[in-house]
Amino acid sequence: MSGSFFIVLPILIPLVAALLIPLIEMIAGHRARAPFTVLAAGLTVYSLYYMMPAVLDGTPLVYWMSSWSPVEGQAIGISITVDAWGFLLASIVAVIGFFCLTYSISYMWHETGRSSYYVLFMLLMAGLIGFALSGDLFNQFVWLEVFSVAAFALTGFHYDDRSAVEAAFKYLVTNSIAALFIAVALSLLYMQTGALNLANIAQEFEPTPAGWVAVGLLIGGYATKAALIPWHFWLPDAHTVAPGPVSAMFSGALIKIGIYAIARNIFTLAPVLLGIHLQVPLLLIAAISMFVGGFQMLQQQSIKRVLAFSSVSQMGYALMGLALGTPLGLAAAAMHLIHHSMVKSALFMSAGMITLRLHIHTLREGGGLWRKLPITFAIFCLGALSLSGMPLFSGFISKTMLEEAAFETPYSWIGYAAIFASLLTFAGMARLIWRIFLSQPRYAQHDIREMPALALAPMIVLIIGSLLIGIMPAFAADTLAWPAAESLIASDVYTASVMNPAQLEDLEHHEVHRHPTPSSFDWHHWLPPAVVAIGGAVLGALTIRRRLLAGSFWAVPFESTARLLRAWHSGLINDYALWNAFGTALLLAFLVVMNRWNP
Amino acid sequence: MFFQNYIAAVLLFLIGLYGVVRHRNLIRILLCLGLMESATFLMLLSLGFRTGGTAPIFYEANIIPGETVVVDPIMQALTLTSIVIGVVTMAMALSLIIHIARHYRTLDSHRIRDLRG
Repeated sequence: MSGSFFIVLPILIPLVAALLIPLIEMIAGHRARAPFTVLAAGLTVYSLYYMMPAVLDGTPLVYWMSSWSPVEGQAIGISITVDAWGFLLASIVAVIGFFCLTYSISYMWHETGRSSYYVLFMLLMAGLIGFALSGDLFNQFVWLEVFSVAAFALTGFHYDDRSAVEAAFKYLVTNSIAALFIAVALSLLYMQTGALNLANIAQEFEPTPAGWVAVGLLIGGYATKAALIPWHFWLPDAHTVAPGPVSAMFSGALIKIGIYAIARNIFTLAPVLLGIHLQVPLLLIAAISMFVGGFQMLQQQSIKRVLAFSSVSQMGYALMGLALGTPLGLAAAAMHLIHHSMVKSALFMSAGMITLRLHIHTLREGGGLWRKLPITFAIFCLGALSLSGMPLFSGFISKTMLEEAAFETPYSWIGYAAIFASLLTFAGMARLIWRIFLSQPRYAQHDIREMPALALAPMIVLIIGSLLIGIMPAFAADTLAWPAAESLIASDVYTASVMNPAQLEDLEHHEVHRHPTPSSFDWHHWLPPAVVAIGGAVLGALTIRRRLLAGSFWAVPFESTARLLRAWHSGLINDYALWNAFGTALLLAFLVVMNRWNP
Repeated sequence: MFFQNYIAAVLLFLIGLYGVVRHRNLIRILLCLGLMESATFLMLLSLGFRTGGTAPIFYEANIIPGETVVVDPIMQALTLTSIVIGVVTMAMALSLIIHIARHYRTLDSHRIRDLRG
């Protein structure tokens, strides 16, 4: 199987489908576009499923484009390298893409004119999968630009809406700066190692100042994609204005790719970096992302913006797992990516339907919808419970794993931080559900009917998937999350299978101790969710009824933090660019100074 | 290897970044982004340069093994690819600016901030 052309198929299918869409429209009419893309996405999922046994076997699959395999330890050709970590991300993209396209059939029903939507969506999928499967840094950079350009265009797809073009422009500028950081990092790495292939760089990499700067720039650049604070400013804007399936895809797949790339660069590209001097800044970024994202959820007025800030907070959790660096932490991060992609895309799909059909964009306009939209209400409630890590849901499993991972390292503070940040998630989701579905409506609402079945089906399937993972976590953990973690830890296997497969026999076998997956029915783990539920409910009640808080000791710090954070998200593109550069510069300065002083 | 090329690349990058942060006009922001891009091109090309090197075109009488110095073709390929990518991004950004100008009737970044908070 290794070396077979089949492993390129997951990239090729969406790419070819993107080109065929105008042809399909000419032959079979515009109604045929959506089913065709669903079919293509299904084929992509199948092609990934087909190579699953071979990938999860432990050795990465390698295919050299045009058979340009390495000569004398130098890789000049482009390799497609599929290990379990890349496979996990490619599967997330393909599966979420499949569901988002199914959902697009009803969401885009009245968009009869422009086939560009489907073309761009397939390009986005091809770019993301190509990025996840590529084993060459510059090739990754090209895929990054492919999916970025598709994502800019999809953000501004409703260009008659003034905030859509504004958000797309801000997205473009911040992410172009990030891409330039990545380009500079590439050239620095090439200068040091004379190679562009990930495995080849990993062999030659030395932790010199230039190497540190390169890795810092890579992390800063990909942190923009992953929407970690302070690189996150594009995310709430872009998610809010994009069409429903696109924001579901952004939150479900696009920002995960940033986390993927950070992990790839820390663990595979430069395994020597696993020292303490990278861990602390990453854990700090993770903690700040969790809290700022969670806090911003409490004061947003737009439905999608609340969910978008929740994504920022959840990416903090995933980064926390990576930064801990232990096998359990990595498995927990992988689990969290699976969990979050399912739940958040279901929530964005239902939010998209609410904005499209009922024209309810803000919390203010909602109220009392639970009677008329019982299924959407149920999806929101279950999604919120899963997101805040309640037992029986996938969120419980991944968050318990993350906390266990934190408590077995010296960084137990991040475990407590994760629990208290979940409190903000719970409160934010409670406020959202209260305002849209339960409270008294403030404005007259006409002609409100439940969503069409075709739009509801993908959301229901995703939420049931989250429930299934929560009840039977062993399946997702043992087949996807743990192999992904092991493939990141065993970077020498990755390097050997790309550069010199004959060497694989000589490598000592990595024995990773797989921790037992926590069970939803194990009462010992129920304390954090109980704290989150009670504290979150109190906090949620306080944010819904602000006057309960007025006059108390907590009112002043709460209100001033809220005002400060609102002022920080100034909406000014110059500020966003500055924060982007400032975050990267701070990371670089920290890396270089710390490693100069304590080599 | 030209040391001054790297200095120039870093300076250009920083000047571009300063421009992106300081300018209020969206088109100027975009031009400064272009400047940053050019800085990376300069960096890539300087990396591939060899003193006295010739173009990496291989045919029979052209190259004397062990004697002829050629510049690194990979960096040139990367630069070309990056230029193409840059053009795509630039075209995209300009078309977005047209729509922004249509909706907002201004290109002042301080007045294009509906989305905030």
